[in-house]
Amino acid sequence: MEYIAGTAACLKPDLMTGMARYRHRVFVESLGWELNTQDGLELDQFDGPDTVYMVARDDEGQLNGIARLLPTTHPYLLQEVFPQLMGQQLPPRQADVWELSRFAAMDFNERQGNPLSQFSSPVAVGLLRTVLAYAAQHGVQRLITVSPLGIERLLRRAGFAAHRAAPPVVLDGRPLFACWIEVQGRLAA
Amino acid sequence: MTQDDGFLRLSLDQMLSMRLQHLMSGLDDDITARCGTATAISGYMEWIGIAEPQISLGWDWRLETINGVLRYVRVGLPRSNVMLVDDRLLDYGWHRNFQTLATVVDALQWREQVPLLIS
Repeated sequence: MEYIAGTAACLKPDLMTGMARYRHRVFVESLGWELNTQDGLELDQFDGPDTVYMVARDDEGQLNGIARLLPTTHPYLLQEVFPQLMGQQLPPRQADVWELSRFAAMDFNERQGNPLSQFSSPVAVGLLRTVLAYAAQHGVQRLITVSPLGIERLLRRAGFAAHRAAPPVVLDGRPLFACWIEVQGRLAA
Repeated sequence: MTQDDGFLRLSLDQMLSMRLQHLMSGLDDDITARCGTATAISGYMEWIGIAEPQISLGWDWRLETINGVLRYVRVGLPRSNVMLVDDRLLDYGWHRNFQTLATVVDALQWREQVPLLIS
């Protein structure tokens, strides 16, 4: 397994294109999310010059996991689209809090992995541990992410210090919540 | 009170004085079931506080047979946005917090509601 991290400026163009295609396959084709896409690529307004990507590739060089990280000092998904998931609290806006989004670990080559178990497969756990290590190296204290409710169960079972910011909210028929994931410090697993 | 980590800080007395109500619940897919084999019935439940600050408490459960009697039991530790604090306003800490919240869950009248909520 190989993990590659960086912004769009330092990742190779074919890797960026492969990541956008992988996101389309996972989130649009497999999960059925209604996202704006073009030519089979999924990118949105939060894919900017300061966005950090983590890409996992298997031994054959095939993508089998991705994650997107953005400091909350920039406009981000939870703040812009899902602020109601914070309850009465304001979405965080701190340099040491990053948002994790577009997290997925599906192996299309081996036809393993279920999009609904995106945080429970060995690849997913390895990818998230790598994301946390990368974030810790950059002074991040905790991540926040918009997730289906079941993700909190999977994160906790996998040993991550994850907890909800507020009660879950049903949006488009799916219970979603804002999930804190401790990166370092006294609460980190 | 909320700190940077996003937890609401409450004393145990404050937590116990909160009125909670059911928010949502659901059944898990029984991925282990095979034709002719025993099935497992399990799910999750979410409750919220009625008053502000709005606390959130969720847990997993499963149906077990104990001494020949069917009974819903909590599985694992609950999930919450609450961090309990002691008399000196010091955090209980991760494990003690969720273990104590588990006793709060066990004291709630949720088991009788499961059949109604999932039917």
